Amino acid sequence: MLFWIYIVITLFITVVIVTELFTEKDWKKQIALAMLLLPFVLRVLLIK
Amino acid sequence: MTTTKRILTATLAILVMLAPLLVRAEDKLEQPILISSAGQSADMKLVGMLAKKQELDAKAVNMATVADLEGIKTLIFVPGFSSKGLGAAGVSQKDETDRVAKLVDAAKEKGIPIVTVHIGGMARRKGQSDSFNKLVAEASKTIIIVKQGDEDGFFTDIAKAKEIPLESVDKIADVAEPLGKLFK
Amino acid sequence: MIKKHHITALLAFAWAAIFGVVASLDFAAMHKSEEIFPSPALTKVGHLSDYFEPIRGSEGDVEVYYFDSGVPGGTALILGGTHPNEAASNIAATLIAENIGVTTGRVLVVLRACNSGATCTDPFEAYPQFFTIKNRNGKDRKFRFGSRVANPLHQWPDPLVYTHFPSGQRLSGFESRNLNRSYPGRPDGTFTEKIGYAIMQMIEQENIDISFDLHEAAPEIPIINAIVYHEKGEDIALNAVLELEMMGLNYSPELSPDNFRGLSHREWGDRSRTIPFLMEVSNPIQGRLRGKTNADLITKGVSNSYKLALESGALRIEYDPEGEPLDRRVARHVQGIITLIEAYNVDHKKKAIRLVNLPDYHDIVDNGIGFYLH
Repeated sequence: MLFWIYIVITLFITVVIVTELFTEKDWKKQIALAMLLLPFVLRVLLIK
Repeated sequence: MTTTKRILTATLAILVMLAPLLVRAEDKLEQPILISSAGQSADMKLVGMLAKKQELDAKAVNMATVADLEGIKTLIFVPGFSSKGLGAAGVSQKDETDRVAKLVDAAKEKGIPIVTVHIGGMARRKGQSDSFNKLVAEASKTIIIVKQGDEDGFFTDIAKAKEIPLESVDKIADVAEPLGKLFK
Repeated sequence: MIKKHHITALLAFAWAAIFGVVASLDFAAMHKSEEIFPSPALTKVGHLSDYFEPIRGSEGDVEVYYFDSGVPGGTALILGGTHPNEAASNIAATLIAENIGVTTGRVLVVLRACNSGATCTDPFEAYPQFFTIKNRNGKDRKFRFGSRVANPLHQWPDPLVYTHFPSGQRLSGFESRNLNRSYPGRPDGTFTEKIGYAIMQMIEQENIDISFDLHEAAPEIPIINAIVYHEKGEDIALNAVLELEMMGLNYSPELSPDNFRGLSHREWGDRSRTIPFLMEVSNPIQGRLRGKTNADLITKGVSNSYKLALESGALRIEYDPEGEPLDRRVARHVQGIITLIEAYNVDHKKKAIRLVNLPDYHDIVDNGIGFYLH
């Protein structure tokens, strides 16, 4: 159960980051957000 | 020279020739033997096995206490630290040091000679082992070591400083012979 | 109309996607098992799940290689890969599986006991994911260098404190994924406990007489170059230590503490007929002082940092300035197994296990491991 709660939290943060990525206007911050996105996506997909 | 004088002279000469042997015989250690670890390494079991092969009257007691010295004529310590051994015995390093120190003191008090047999090579040197090695080696009448454990002259230095005879052998199996000779 | 920051967002997203795909391929590569070429003595390939069905198809299910002579005798189990960051363990088991011949009794070999741990690396250690060994034909054989414990993808989260079943012994939460703290395991336990349970079932159902769990440890760990034995294997261990010493190989005999639970050398021996032995060799890449961490350090075992410490006189442990090459570490394991089985045979004539075709310590050191890999 705790595993799925973790996945839901990770998915939620992933969505928040993607939303931020597309609303952020500073390209440097967008790159930082893209970098931040990577581990969350890999976690949601259970790759790493 | 009369016949009596000749016999007396010959007897004296024989006695003089045998004197060193007689002195050496006095040097021989006596049995029964108690073998104990100092640091709880399983090397003690190996020395017990070698003593058995030499048909020595020895009992190996890992956690020997002063009470085990009852009736014992020689105490052999096999030093070397083992975390697994301490764990198996359920004691701390300090407990073990205290036990060994008490045993050394009691043996000295009772006039029981101590022999150190170090067979663990470098694996039972330095680190946490050397405090046990030093404790028992310095109190010994004789030291037998496997050469690899004395590469830095640790035991040789103790033997020289304390004027203790030291026998160095190449392999663990080679310990059996000098060990047996101590008693036979 | 697309806004400028949406274009940059898409570019950043694409950039992340490219790196994500590249990283994913890299991580996914660790889920692929190595190819193995068992010796002609192979009689059957089974699975760990044959002994505990619920793990079938999971990343904890691995092949079990059976080498049955057909001549009545005893049964030996050789378990490699309990800790997948201890390369000599898996490689020694692989070398044995690819060369062994059995003339009496039978031998079971598991190459990756904790296969889950072979699918990832330990965090913050900068370990390489793979290393290669040239086989006898000059072809590279690629092997995974995994984590000490099971992949968190397969067992998560770690508890703050791991309570071993059934003893109640408490260890750090990380150890809940350590196969060699999980025995005897339980059928309804965690992923790792289920693997431990399956291995226990295999030992019991196959009537394993003598068993080996192969390991490596950091040079500063006091039990390197050791044979850890259960009390019922004391005579075998001590005789083998003497025999190995005659060959110029030093092994420290270490008695398994009966109050340290969950380990193979304790639980296997307590809970089945098997006489277990755990062997350790010195592996610099696991050490805290190792310095540059790469595949060469796994195979050549040369650490300039340990060498420097040794030369400075500050090192209070054993370290060979020439390094601890994988050839020698594997050779020690293979020779240790051969000698322990020979020592076992002395007092178990009706349950003897006789091996042939395995290279000895000097063969492996002289020719290299690759010479014995196909």
